[in-house]
Amino acid sequence: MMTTTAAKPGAMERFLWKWLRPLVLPAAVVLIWHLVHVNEVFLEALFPGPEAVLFKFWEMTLDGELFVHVGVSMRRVLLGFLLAMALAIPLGLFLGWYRRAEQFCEVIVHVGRTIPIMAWIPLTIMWFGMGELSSVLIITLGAFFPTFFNTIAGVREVSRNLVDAALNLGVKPDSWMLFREIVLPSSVPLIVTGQNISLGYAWSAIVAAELIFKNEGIGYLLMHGRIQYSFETVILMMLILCCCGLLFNVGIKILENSLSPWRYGLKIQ
Amino acid sequence: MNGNAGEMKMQYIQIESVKKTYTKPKSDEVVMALDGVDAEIHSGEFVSIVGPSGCGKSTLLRVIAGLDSIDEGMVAVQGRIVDGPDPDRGLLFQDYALFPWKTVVENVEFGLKVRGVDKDERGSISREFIELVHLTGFEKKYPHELSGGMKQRCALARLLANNPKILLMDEPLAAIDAQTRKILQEEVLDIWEKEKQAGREKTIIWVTHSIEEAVFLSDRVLVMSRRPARIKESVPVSLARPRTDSTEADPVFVELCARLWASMKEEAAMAIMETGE
Repeated sequence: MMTTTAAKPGAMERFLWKWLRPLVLPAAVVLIWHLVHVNEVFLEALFPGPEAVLFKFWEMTLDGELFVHVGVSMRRVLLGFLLAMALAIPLGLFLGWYRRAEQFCEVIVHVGRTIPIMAWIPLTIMWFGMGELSSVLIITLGAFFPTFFNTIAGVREVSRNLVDAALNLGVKPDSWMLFREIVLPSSVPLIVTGQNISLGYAWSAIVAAELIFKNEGIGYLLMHGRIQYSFETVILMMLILCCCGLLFNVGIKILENSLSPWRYGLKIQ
Repeated sequence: MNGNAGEMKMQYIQIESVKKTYTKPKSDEVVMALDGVDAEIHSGEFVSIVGPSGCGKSTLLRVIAGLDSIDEGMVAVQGRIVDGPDPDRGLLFQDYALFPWKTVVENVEFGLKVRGVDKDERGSISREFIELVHLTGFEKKYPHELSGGMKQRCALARLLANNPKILLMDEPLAAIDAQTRKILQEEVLDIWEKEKQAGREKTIIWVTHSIEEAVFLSDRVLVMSRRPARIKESVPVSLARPRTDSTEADPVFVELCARLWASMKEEAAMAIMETGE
């Protein structure tokens, strides 16, 4: 790739700038952060510099504390997310395919959606305590709806033309064949979009749950950092959350490309 | 046009006073698309339908395919009323309608898969038709990786592999450049002849807006009026087959095109005036 772009004069610079340009602003932010810290604009204890955060990261990596908590949060998110998918996708496919069934469920689904995830926390504590199960269930609740609604939409928005083409080739209307061969693959892109949104919700939910349940995890460290006035921990955890989110999004992207490679070309067109 | 013979002996495809209206989305305006279309088509015949754009040619094909319902009248094939889609009446869609998540070979084999043909036989049939439309080597490509002409060939192979008795072609060459179109026209006739020799006689209804194409390909050309559409005229084409490059130099060809153009011109002119396009 480098060699082909370097063939043209100035191509090398253009290539470098393409990658450098997005990094300029973050670098500037870190620099200003550093300058503000060095000049003691704010109180030292309330405003640690970037070096302190980096040092905290090193310290927590060495004693393994970071891995324990990040591991716990990741496991919860993964479990809760997978549970949400196992419910949202089949249910969404079912309700998308059988319109009457959706009419039955319409009211309860939309009422359920209007309740903020955090409002479920007290009830969850009363029923399931402040342990692992509650954390996972809160994530499941948070991740369920985006994928669920996108799955229904994916089934609904199947191209009329492609359904006609299938009927014309001998597929029976409302058949399993039509569902498996046409409706399901054509709804994959919207389902994946829903999964991406669900993941974001899952990470929000885990932080909220761990802040309140105080039972390990990234959210717990965030709260712990506040109590101990360890602001470098708080900032570090925010950055860690950032990385975890990015990591999971990359995972979804890989899943998407392996599930629907045909979609790749559609986007370019 | 009202075939009295139809009372006693039904034609292969019988279209009788077909009326179809549809409601425009949003505006609730009711549009009459077909207003008493009558036509008869013989078994094995190649019939083209020409008419001003937007006159309802595509709607008529969809009606014959059983994908659209009608308000009045009747469509029957071999004496059986059409009341839904059937793989024996294959439609070639104007925008190809290839399944984007299936490769060329999976698209071509789809109709066979639906019918439960086993994998080995599917493979040999699809190979035959992919070769027939000159797509060998592209079996594993997805539709988005193909050019417009290749997509159309793939759609044609998918249609032919399913071995329908009737081919309903909706402006199949409209989106294809002039040179390729000329080649594909000859290929279609070639395929039609080959299929006949292989004992798979096809009846073709070919919708186009090109009079030259209609005359070049067909045994008969039906001229459709502007909307609400009727069949205005049925013109037999007596040119010898196989049709070649020299066909277009034939005085009969030139005369037929001129005659059809005269018939279509006033419809087209009126249609333009009415729609204000």
